[in-house]
Formats: sequence, structure tokens, C-alpha cells
Amino acid sequence: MAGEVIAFIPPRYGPEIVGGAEIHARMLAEEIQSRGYPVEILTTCAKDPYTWTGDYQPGTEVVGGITVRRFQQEPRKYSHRAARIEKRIAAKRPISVRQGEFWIRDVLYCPPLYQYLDRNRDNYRAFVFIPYLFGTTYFGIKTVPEKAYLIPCIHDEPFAYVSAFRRMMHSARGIMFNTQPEMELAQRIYGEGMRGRVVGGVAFKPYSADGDRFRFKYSIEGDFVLYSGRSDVAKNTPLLTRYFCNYLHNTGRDVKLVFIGSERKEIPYTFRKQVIDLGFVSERDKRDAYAAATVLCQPSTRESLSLVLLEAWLAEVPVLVHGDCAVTRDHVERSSGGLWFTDYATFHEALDFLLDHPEVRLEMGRRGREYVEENYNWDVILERFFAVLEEGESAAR
Amino acid sequence: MGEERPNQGEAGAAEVFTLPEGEVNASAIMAEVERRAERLRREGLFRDLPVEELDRERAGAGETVISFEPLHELIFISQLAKQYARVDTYYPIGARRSPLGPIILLAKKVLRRFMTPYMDAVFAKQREFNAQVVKSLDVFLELIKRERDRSYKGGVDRYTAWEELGLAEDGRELYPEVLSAFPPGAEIVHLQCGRGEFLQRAAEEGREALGVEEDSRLVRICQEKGLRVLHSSPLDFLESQRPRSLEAVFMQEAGERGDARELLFTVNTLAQVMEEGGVAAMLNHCPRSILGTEEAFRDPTVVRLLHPETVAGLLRRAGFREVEVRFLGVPTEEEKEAWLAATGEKDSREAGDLAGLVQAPRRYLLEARR
Repeated sequence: MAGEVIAFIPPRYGPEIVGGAEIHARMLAEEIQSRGYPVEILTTCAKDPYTWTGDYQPGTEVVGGITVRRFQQEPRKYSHRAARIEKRIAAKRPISVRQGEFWIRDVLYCPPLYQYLDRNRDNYRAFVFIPYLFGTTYFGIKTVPEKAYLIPCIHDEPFAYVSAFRRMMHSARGIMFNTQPEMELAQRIYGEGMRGRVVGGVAFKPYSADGDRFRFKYSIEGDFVLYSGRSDVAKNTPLLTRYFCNYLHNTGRDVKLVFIGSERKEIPYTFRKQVIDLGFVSERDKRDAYAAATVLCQPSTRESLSLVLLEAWLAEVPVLVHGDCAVTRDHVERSSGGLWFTDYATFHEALDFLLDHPEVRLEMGRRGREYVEENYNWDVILERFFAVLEEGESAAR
Repeated sequence: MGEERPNQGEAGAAEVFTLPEGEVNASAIMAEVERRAERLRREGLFRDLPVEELDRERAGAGETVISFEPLHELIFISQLAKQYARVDTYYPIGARRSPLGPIILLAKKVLRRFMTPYMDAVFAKQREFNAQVVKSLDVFLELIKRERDRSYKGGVDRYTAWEELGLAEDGRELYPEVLSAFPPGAEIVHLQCGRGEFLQRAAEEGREALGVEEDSRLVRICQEKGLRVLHSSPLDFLESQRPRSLEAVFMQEAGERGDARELLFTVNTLAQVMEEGGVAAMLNHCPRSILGTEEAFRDPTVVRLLHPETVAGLLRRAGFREVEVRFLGVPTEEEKEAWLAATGEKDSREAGDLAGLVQAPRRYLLEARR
């Protein structure tokens, strides 16, 4: 099998790891393996995406039928210099490539992984790195540029403008973008000349869900807006809470906001009957929640694909997204599967409209489902995926 | 569409929303949303306050907040308690901006350095107590959720009790006929395998079989017998399978317990995951048989019997090509006599007519081919 194996290199990997890029890597790897191509995962021992602490044991194990090789990463250093550089990055002030590298190394650095890549480069057909931001990707591509492919999952955030990433994007053998807006953003930041194309991310298969079951289990009646996924400032959930509470205060409508996802949310006391945090729920409950929801809201402005949006559309629920996120807005504009908002006033009016027009909601949900079925199926995605690999390989010859 | 509806919100009370003509078009609807939003902004018809401020204002207005939903209340209290589980003794140190600021700051830092070990000891007990409270709340929350889930599933727990007592009849004498329905060499998946009698019989005949059971106690019973069993609900198991990947699936008393919608979902999902030519078999009580009906309702968790035609129709609709019904379990002479004696009809003139009804087979086996 030497030289045929396709290796995926996410910063974390495991069945309990919840993160867009990590789930993306897992779904893609499992699908490719199921079609008879040998696949391996090369990753760190970390579980926590902030502290990057090592919770898994280094070594080899099989997860979901795929060989996973874990390498011990260095503990995050939290140095003063890195903190100063991060402040500059956040303020979008220029930093040198050296400073960029120092900051990337300070957050996540995994020398045994780079040594393994260096020694075993001939045993693999390709190394697919995901996402762009971490040391696993940056130093990995630097180690094996001739076989490096990148799924950047890039979105418009200050970190994307770090100059070190420009070099990395141009040295990869091929880049697989999830959406057209993502590719346009990358071209705007890093310039033309990158070898890459839109691959489309991952595919979704239809599932059955029972909204009544969810409503019964969690005692939820009437209309509700659903948020699913990680809750933090980066995902804009405080903004959603703020807009929703103000909406309730301004309109007095009987509608709820339901959060599902593992992080704890700060729920304002006087809104606790209408803003409900269910915490982590099972996969089945999550799907039932999509089927039960009146509207799914995705307020994040930093999405490169938005798995939640695409998965929810399969349950035919209309969506409300942030208009400043080029990717989710593009999904909605192309599918007519929902609406978007850019400030409180548009949030207010768009939500009013969706709540008042059940027949339009149904139609929007149906269109969303059609959009996912047409654009996100494995045959199309894998054809594009292998096309990028073949283009890279023929360029190397 | 061109429909008009008044906006129910106070902020836009006077306006009506004019839907653009034609098909649903997000951009066209957004143009109208933008127009209305502009009016809101222009006329200042809404408030957009930080949540904390809004919360304070509402609480200060003397509103009495009563929650009637204990589960929501518990979720909220649990969330609130988690905020206090860890008492943070490392509050950031600051100093007023004055010429003495740096000196005060230094003094505070020195004081903290010396006091921290003592304060940590004082707070340790409190932290431990808080953590225990949070843990207890989480346990309560989990118990309530689990009980709700169980009640929805139509009393799985009670069924388990009947199974454990050995009072639920199992139809094991019919298993050889069931096994003959599956192609030789195929791995048989038994959904809701209970105590694993079918799996045992399959093993005795040298057939490979895997059980799926959602009740952990029954899973344990099967495991103690050395049987291969997965702990999962049938629907979750089927949904996790790849399309067209299962060769042979067996279900007993399908749809006779719990929510009827589960059967619909299960049959539809089954059709997606069965491979071409794969066989699904269902062994159910026959409602045409008095003995079969009587046997079925000995188990109080059985809530309905399904006609073979009904189940066959569901299977065909889901996409199974050939569906065949076989009637099994014709009562023996002793069983007929015992039933007539029990009903006091043994010597009556109608006994012959009744015997005809009693003689109907007690079970039916549906064989559906994909």
C-alpha cells in the first residue's frame, strides 16, 4: 500500500471532537476509505482547542475503521511575546513572517508529527491538511510541500491576514475550497496564483427526524428559533442572545430561543423562560430539534462552509443567517432557503416575516433541502477532490 | 403570492408586509425586509440594548417571573450554579490612576502573594460544596430527562420487567422456520433482541447473528450468555448503517409496542439500508387468532396487533420488492381443549364453531425481499 495512502492532518481527531474542520476531516476520510482508498489520520493528542492539552495517548489506534496516528504536541506556551503579537494580529497591524511563525508555534507545535512526515513522505500519496490556522498545517506544509494539499476552511478574521499564511497558501500543491466566496476571499487576501478550486466540503445523506419527539422530551411548545453548535464570541452567539431578547422586549411575541451545544451560555434571568439552553444533546435529538424548529439561526460571520446550516436544511427548516458572512449568505441567496440580517432592525423584520408566514417557511425549507441534495453529494465532491490531487501530481512530474 | 398580513409586533404595528409576486425569492423578500427595517431605524421604533441592561431594566420593573416548567427551571438553576462552582480568588488587580498607582499595585500584588495560600484553604471547602451541588443538580436533570424519554418510548422499562420475569412469551418454537427464511451464510441482525433467545438458536444452527437492544439490562443478560449484541435503539442502529449494507434483518412483534410512528420510520430506514436481494423478516402475533391475541395481551406492554396486510403494505411502500406472508404456530389439540375448558365451552354445542376460530395460526411471518 506504500505510496497510495491519503493522509488527513487535522489538529484534533476523535468521535467526541466537535468542531467544523474536525468533523469535516472525519466525514471526508470515512467516505474516501469506504470507496476503497487507503486513508490514515495523522494528528496530535489534544482534545481542547484552546489549551491544546494532551488528553489522548500518543500512538496508533483505529477510530471508525481508520488508522489514527497521534503525536504528542508541545504544551501551549502563553508567552508574553506571543500575546503581544496576537494583539497586533487582532488589530490587523502588520507583523513579519518571523513573528507570525513564532505566534503559530506558540499556540500549537508538534515536532514528532513533522519528523514523521519528513521520514515517511514516500509512503503516502498525499497529505491533506485542515484547517489553515494551526501549527500542524503550517509546519506540516513546510515539511512536505511537494505532497501537501490544504482544505483551508478560511473565513474573514484577523488571523487570516498573517503574512506567514500567504507563503503557506502558495507553497501547497493544491487547495480545496469549500465554497466560491471562500476562494474569492483567499484570492483577495493572498493574491492570485494559488493552485486550487472549489471542492464543496462534505456531503450529507437524508435522515429521518421526529420534531414531536424533541418537543415532548424537552417540554417545548410553540414557535422557537434554534441555535446548534459551539457557543462563543467567535460564533456570534452573544449577539444572537442580545437581538433575540430585544426582539422579545420590543414585540412581546411568544417565541423561544433554544441552544443546543456543549458550552455554557449566560442566560439573562428575566428571559429564562424564553431562552433555553439544553446543553449537549445526542445526534438523534439534534436532528429531531432541526425538524421541530421554526427557524434555525446561524449568526456567525466566520464560516467557511457551515455544516450546521446544510444539515438543518435536510430537515426542511428555514434559516436566518448573518448577512456579513459571505459563505452563509451565498448559500441562502442561491437556495432561497431562508433570510439574513445585518443589524437589529433587519433581524427584527426578517424574524417577524418568518414567524408570520408559515407557508413561505415550508417552501424555504424545501428549497434548502433541494439545494443540499443537488450540491452536496459525495460523487460530485470526491470527483473534485481527486481532480485536485491529480492536478497536483501532474504538476509535480 | 401577493398576500398581505399585518405585522403583529408593536414596532411595526401599522405596517403590512407585502409579499413579492411569484415564487419564493429570498433576495426579493430581503428587499422588503430592508425597506421596513429602514423605517424602524428612521422612526426609532425599537430598542436595542445590551442584554445586561435590558435584563436589569426588566427585573427592576418589578415583573414577577414564574416558570411553570420544572425541567426548564432545573436547567436554569443548574446553569446558574455552575457559575459559582468555582470561586475565583484571582480577581484582576487594579489601581487608581494617581502618582501612587504603581506603588499601590505592587503592594496589592505582594499582599495577594502572601495571603493566597490562606485564602485558598478558606475557599477550598466552599468550592468542594459548590461542586457537589452542581453534580447533584446534573444527576437530577439527567434523571428527569431519562424518565421523560422512557415514558415516551411506551414503557420499555415495564417490558423489561416482564422479560426478566420470563412472563413475556417468546415464540422460540418458531425460530427454526424464521431462520429458514434467511439466505444461508448471511449475517442476521435481530432488532430488539431481548434476552437473546433467537440469537442463541441461530448460534446453535451455526448462523452468524448480531443483536441490537436498547435496554441496558437486556444487553447485559445477552452479554452474560456470550452473545454478540449492540446497545442501541433499532432506529439509531439502522440510521448509522451505510445504504444497502445489511443482508438479513429479523424483528419480532414489530410495531406492537410503543409509538406506531417508530414502525414507520424503522421500515423506511430498513428499506434504505437493506442490500439488493436482502431479506427482512417480521414475526408478529396474528390478530385473526383468538389464541394469538390472548397470548399477545398477556404482556401488558403490547398496545396493538397489526394485520399482516397492513405491515405488508408498509413494506411494499417503503420499497421492498417481494413480500410474502406465512402463517405459523397452529395450536395443538391439547391447547384447543385447554382453551375451551378455560372458557367453559367444552361441552356446548358451539364448541365446534369456536374450535374453528381457535385453530387459526397464532403468528404470521412476513418475508420481505429488497
